[in-house]
Amino acid sequence: MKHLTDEEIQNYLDGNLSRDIALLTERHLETCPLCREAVKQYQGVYAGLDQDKGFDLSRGFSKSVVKMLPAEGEAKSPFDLLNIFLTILGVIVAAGVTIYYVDLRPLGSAFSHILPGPQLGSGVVAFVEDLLVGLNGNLGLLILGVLTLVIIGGLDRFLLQPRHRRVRF
Amino acid sequence: MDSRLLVKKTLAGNKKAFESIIEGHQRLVSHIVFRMIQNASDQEDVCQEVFLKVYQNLRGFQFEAKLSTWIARIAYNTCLNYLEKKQVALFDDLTPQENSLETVSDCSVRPDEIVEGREVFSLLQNEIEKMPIHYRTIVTLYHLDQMSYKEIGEMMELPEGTVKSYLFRARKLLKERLLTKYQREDLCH
Repeated sequence: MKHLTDEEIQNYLDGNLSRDIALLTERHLETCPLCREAVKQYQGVYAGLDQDKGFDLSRGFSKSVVKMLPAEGEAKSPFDLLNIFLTILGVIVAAGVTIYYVDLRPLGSAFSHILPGPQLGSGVVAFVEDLLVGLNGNLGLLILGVLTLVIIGGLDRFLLQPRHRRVRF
Repeated sequence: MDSRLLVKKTLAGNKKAFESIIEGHQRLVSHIVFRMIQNASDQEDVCQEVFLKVYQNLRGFQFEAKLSTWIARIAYNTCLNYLEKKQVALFDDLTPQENSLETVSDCSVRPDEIVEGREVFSLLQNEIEKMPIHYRTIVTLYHLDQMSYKEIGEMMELPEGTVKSYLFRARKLLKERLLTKYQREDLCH
């Protein structure tokens, strides 16, 4: 039998060989001092790796992490109230900004004929048209949008981020 | 306690249950983080970050894998993000110079004899630290945490064969370096 390769020796020491192959390997080792030597070298490395005691975290690590968890004591749900509130606010701000910058009157007119009933249809179209005329060029709405963004940024900076800030032991 | 029960209790708001999850996995997480991140002042912070991520994402964990494998994967990915931010080279391979070290088979002192000494043990640790990140992570998880090739592969998103190959090359390199270093320091004379 030829000498064992590094891979065969490691498979032997890891216990990855089938029973038959392991027996053949053992028989070879009984008669081959070179391979026995190589196996012992690997055994030394394995012993060193298994001896490793690992790494220690600070005492009370788990308690410290628990203290950093959200106060309500529940794992974060992707649909919590704050997320829903921020989503709705974002949609309103996006719609407001769109209405401010884009003239939607032609769009309103284009859909006026499909609205149910001539009276209701004309009433709704008139209302939308009035609304759009009122909004276009309205500086107050723009300021409101900017203020809303500032408030969201402030909430995030002072309420949400501190919850997730890392603390040193 | 059963990990399913601990997860269920944690999701119901029981912080003691989550503390038990941390205590049961902090050794594993510290092995991954301390092996991958060499900056001592950041190691524990990253461990905290890992467990906060575990808590935040626990609702999405459906036991497709073992809880320990899932947590290990979060730890591994958190470390990768950290290292990317620090612009550390992530996937260096063993260099030809590192691979071409000759085995000193005629050395009269073997690693199994010398490893008993504290000096040689620390030498081995130093050699592990010098290896590329994925090599030293795999060696640690296999030997220190007794993870299987499959679990390591799931964690690092690598095929089992690649994990096995990295592990073999890493141990071969360690053996060669240990023998070479031992000879160079006149311990064979």
